Amino acid sequence: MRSIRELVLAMTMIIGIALSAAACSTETVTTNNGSMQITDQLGRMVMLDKVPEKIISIAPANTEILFALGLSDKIVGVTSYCNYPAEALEKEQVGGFSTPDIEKIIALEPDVVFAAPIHEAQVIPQLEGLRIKVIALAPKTIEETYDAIELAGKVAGVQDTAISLIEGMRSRINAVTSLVANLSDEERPNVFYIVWHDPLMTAGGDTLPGQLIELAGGKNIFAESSGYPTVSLETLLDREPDIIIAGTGMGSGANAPLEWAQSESRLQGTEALKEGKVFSINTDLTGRFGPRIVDALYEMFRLIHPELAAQLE
Amino acid sequence: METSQVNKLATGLVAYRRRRYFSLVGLLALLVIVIGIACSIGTADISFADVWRVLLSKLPWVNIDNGISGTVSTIVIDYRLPRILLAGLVGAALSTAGATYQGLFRNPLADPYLLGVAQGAGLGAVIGFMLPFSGSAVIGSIPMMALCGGLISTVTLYFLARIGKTLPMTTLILAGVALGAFLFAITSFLLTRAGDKLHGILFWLMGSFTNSEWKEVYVLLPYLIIALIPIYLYSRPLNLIQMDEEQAKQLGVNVEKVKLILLLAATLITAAAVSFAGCIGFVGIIIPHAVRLIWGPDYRFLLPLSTIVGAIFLILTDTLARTASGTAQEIPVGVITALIGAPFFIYLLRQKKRVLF
Amino acid sequence: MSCLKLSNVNLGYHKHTVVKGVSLEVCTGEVVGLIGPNGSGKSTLLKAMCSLLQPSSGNVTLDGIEIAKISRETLACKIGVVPQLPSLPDSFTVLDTVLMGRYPHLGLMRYESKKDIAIVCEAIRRTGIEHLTDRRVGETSGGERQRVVIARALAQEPRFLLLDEPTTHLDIQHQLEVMELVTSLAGSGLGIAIALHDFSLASRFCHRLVMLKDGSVFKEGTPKEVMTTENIKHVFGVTAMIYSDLASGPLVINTAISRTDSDNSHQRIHIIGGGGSAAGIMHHLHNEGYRLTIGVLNQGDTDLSTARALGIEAVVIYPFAAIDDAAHQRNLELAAQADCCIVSNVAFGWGNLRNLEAASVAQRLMLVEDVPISERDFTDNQATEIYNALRNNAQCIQSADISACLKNILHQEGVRNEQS
Repeated sequence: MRSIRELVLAMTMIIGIALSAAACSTETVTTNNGSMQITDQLGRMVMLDKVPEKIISIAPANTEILFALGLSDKIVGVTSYCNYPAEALEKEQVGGFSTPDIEKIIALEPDVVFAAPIHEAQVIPQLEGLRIKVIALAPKTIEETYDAIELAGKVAGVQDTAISLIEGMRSRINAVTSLVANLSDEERPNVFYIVWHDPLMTAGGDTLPGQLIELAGGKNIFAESSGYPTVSLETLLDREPDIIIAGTGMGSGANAPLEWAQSESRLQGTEALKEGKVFSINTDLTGRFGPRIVDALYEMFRLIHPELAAQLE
Repeated sequence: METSQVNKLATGLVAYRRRRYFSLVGLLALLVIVIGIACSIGTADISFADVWRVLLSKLPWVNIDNGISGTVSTIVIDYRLPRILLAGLVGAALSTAGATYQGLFRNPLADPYLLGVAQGAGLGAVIGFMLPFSGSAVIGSIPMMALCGGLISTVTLYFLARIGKTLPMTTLILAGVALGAFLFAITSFLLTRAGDKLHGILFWLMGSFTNSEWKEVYVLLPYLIIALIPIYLYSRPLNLIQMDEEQAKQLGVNVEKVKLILLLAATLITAAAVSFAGCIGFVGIIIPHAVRLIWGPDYRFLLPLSTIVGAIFLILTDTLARTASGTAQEIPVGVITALIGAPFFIYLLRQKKRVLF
Repeated sequence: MSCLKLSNVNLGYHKHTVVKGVSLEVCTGEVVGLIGPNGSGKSTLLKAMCSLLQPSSGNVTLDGIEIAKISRETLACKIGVVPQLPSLPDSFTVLDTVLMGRYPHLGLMRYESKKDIAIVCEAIRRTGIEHLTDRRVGETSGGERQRVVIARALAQEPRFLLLDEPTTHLDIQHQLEVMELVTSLAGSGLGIAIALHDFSLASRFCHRLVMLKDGSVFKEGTPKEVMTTENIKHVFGVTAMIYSDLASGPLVINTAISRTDSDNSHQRIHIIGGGGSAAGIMHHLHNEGYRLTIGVLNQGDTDLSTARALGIEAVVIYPFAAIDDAAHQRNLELAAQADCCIVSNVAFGWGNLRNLEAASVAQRLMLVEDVPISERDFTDNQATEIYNALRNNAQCIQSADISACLKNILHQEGVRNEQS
């Protein structure tokens, strides 16, 4: 019995030492009588004392937003996955998406870094510890995308550009939604979105593809799921997809989901295959909450309701 | 034997000890050098001279006119140095733990991840990744979650494997393997729900030092020192346990107490190492063997030598990991340790064709 | 004088009692041997004596103090143990291994001093492994390893030494060396308890023997008291020959497993021999279960010792005396009653010539002739004459054929040999 008590005591002591040591060295942000206090989309309060001159983006979606806001001159670093617009490819690269090159970032001396939700756990705390300002853009819906653009515009001092960009996006999207507003339930086809075929992964209702499908007048047959669930072929067949849209373009093996959908023998009996409605869509469009969600929506619309989409051209 | 032969043996023993002390000191010097070199290497373009100027200016008694920009200072002092030190500490922890386990279990295949501690820490880390929390809250931070996971699984294991007042080794291994498998299953399940965090989690699990901070060094360093003390202290009884437990008992070793203390210490430093760096393989099992090949099986020296060699090895491999493929993508350090370590170890094996364990 | 004492000790593993109610004592200056069949508890007792196993009842004391209450380190300075099959790590050198014996004196931190090395050297010298000090244990033979372990135990500077069958892997020279070492250690004041399988070594080198059967003490005492045919038969189930008059202690030779249910037990065989010539015949036929008698033998004749050991009835006369009429008469009776008579390859002199005459009354006769009678005749040819006369009705064979030939003879009709 004595040894157990000693054991527990020792453990508690060790945990206690560890935690207090960690606690003692938490950085405190010094306050300034500076110009801006921002709350980013992860709820973080960031103090910016000037309009940033040097901006780094460590997420492709953020890169697109920043370029759309006309901040091309101020962008000094992007990730290796930032491929739109074309000018982004000429910018200095600071590592991958989930693994940015911290050293490079420090060397570029940015005034602000635009990050994404996946950086929340480790990268953002690390950058903060190195006294680098980070603004996280974390939109999960179309509306939040507008908020993200507005936030970026505020941070970079280009609110007007942001507002007009948002208005443009809004009106274009409304054009689509007004056309599908009066569609009855039967007129909305069942749509299945393939993220990957092996394992079979699809997009739930709260994802961008899921939302786009609904907006474009379709019915996501896995709308009740959240995130990107792995589903079985059986369930897919059970839900009788009328249209299959495969996300392609992600690196090598990019067309694999599309090819699978076209050639999988067990799908041959579905409406989608019988009507020849198996399409692909670029995941750069359906994976980034940025200005191009409009293009993504239009593309979806064309695939799901081609006759209605023709009216928009 | 006459006095001359006694003298001969005595001088032989003293020489044996002295050689190993020299090796220890030499390796410590090498460690410092390696740290210095690693500080000068990185993806940002900083000259060797600048690095040393920055490093030296941080020493309290040195007064160098610091014409270096804050950025260089930040990179070297706040990014590279903590990462290098953390790699050294983790390498030291893993190889010492591995050597201790090999001695306790009298098995050359023992490594620090044998007892499911790494899986516990991994589960803690994955939970930490998946929790919604904001910023750098201390409790929610990944290393702390991992550490809690590792500690909880250690305590669980102790109570699972204990029989009466003893801790039989075979029971311990089996319970550890079972516990590890169970925890890993839960982790795998969680991974399927990870969504877009998956890549980050996997990278962490494979082992990396990308997110090293001074905070972590401050926690790990005293932790390691405190745990190393009993390990070094009991290195002589560990030698005796190499025979079998009965013989060790007959020679006066309190086997159960020594086992428990060594196990606890080694497991705790493994938990800490995994918490801060993920599961880096190869270091814990091969470094002790390499040291044994060169300096012999006496644990009084094997243990401290493993500590330092492990530190040097992991610093070198992490430096490679962060620079080898340019800026595009870091290579997980666990890949480098195996790619480089395995051939080198095979080379060592073939050089010294004699009884290894 | 210091004593290690077991008092009414019960020992077992997991509710299975191996040793019941054993009391014994080992004191400094003596060698106590533990003998008994496999599973009789020898190793278990030794484990209890060094506190590796706790008795479920009774206690083990060293000079009156229970050893369970003595710390391991202190105990290791007093008791050294040489286990039966010690596992030694292959990569340590012999010197390293023997040095480990100093641990109870050095503890965690102190390095070996000159004094420690001198003690280790002495231990190495006494076990004769000086040439092995730098060799790795993995490269030594089983016997060498056993001596290394003994040296390590000696390095502990113990008062008591417990050895569990230390001679198993040793060749005969090293067996004797180890046993002589054990004796000399006792002479220097150590108390030694040694479990042995080899009866001869046990009876020769131990001051006292404890014979164990089924976990209890069957007999305890000096080798002479303990090593008897009956005791050995009872405990080990074999028939053994004991030569108990040798200066070096009783010498035990095993025969085969005792057979009590043989077909031959109703056949009576009378042997005429002497001078050691009939020993082999007696062993052989005794094993095959025949009822044997032998005559006439002088006291002091080795064949008589064999006969006594095997429980064979013998006609006995005084040492070096000639055969008197009474003895001769008895001899004739036995020869006549026997189903077969065997004359061994014995030499005949004036003293035992009458034995040959007795052979003439046998119903069936077998003459064992490894050496021609002419070379065994010390009676101016008289023996040869009688012998040749006997030949007519006898089978003459070499020793190897006794068994088969005997079977043949017994199937034939007996013929009374009328020559006298």
